[in-house]
Amino acid sequence: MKALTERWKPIVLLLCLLLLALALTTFNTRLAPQTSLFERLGLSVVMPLQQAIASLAQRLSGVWNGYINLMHVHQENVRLQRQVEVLQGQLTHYQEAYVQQQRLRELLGFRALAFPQAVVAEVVGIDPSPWSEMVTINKGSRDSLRKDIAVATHQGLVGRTIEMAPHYATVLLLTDRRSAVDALIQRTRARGIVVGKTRRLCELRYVDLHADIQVGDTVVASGLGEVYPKGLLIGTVAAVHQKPQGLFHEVEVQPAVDLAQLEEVLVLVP
Amino acid sequence: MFIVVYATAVLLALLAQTSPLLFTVGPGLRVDLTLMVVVYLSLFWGWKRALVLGFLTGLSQDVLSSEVLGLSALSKTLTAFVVHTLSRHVHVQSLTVQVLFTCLAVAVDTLARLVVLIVFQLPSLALSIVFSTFVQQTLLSILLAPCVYYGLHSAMQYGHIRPDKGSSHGTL
Repeated sequence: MKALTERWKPIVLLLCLLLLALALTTFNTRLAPQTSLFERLGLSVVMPLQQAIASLAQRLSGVWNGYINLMHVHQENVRLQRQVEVLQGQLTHYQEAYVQQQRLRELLGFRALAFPQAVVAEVVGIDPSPWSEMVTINKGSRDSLRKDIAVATHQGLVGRTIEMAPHYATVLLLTDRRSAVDALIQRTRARGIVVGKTRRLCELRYVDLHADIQVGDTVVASGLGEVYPKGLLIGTVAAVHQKPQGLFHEVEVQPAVDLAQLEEVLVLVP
Repeated sequence: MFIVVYATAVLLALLAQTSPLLFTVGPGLRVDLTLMVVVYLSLFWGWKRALVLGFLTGLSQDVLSSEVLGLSALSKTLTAFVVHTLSRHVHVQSLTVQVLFTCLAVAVDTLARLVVLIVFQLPSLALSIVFSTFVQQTLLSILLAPCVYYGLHSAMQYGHIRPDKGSSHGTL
């Protein structure tokens, strides 16, 4: 009897833990619009560490390039090599600063043009799950951000804020399967919904089979739903597949923004 | 001491997984390092630790992820159970066995995740994404698993912690 009880113990514990996980999932699904205390806490604990590590890594890389690489160079060449390295380092630094300034100028120009309240934020983290497409930015509720605000760069739409901590926010990217944006084909005003399809592409769904769509057409946000501003660039039509049967076109959309290269974004606070 | 090593391993894995310096969103490479920590615990430690720490590891990943809370907790608990149960009568010190169990863990984790998404009618993943993520995860896990297990094994040895299963002197 005792042996039998021992045998069933792991299964009982497994069932208890699975039930607990399912209860959490159910609870969380029902309260989807809320950000839980645990999630806010998690972001507030891990993201400052993440920022500290990133800054440490940058410093270490600077030390490595500026000093350690030169340790084993012949003594005669040390002075010149160091000078060259220093100058190259400075040049790279200036180039980086120049490129960053250009990016920020474009972002700020874009902000001044249409969204004077918009907040510039830096991408500091990504989703730990390989199954979702999300980034964390270094601005949160203390910077007057809230949930469901569009996030963009000067190139186009990036996604929307979904979770909020005091100093951090998470942004659901356009390419995530849970993202949906009401959209228009700019040329013909045909309407559809842009949803995440693969990691590189989105899909424009529910476009009338009789609508005129061509590869290269520009896709913009329609403004419905009051999350994404009307006319904001989403991307371009990459392919149009017509099924012999069915009511809708199958349209692939290439996002205008390279989401793998995000560094700074603009949160379009209305 | 065991808890310190475990907590440090999970924290490091989560920091690496959320770091834009190591991984990127979009078509960049992504790997679930916390899953490897769970596999290590399930291979070398008793069922209680494997299940409870598998659950806690999944939960801490859920807290940082935009996915539904409880999804990773469930998939990782199930993965810990399957790996622990199947590895009971296997020579877990063998590198090949460890790599095979890592592949199995990726498959169980993926399957559990898909089942929950379907049952809860959450936005499901396109088949192409499931396939590419699974293949990418499996290949990267095969490459990284020996390093992760060796690191954890060394940390445990350094802390004079003897695993519940197998000898503390591995073949890694």
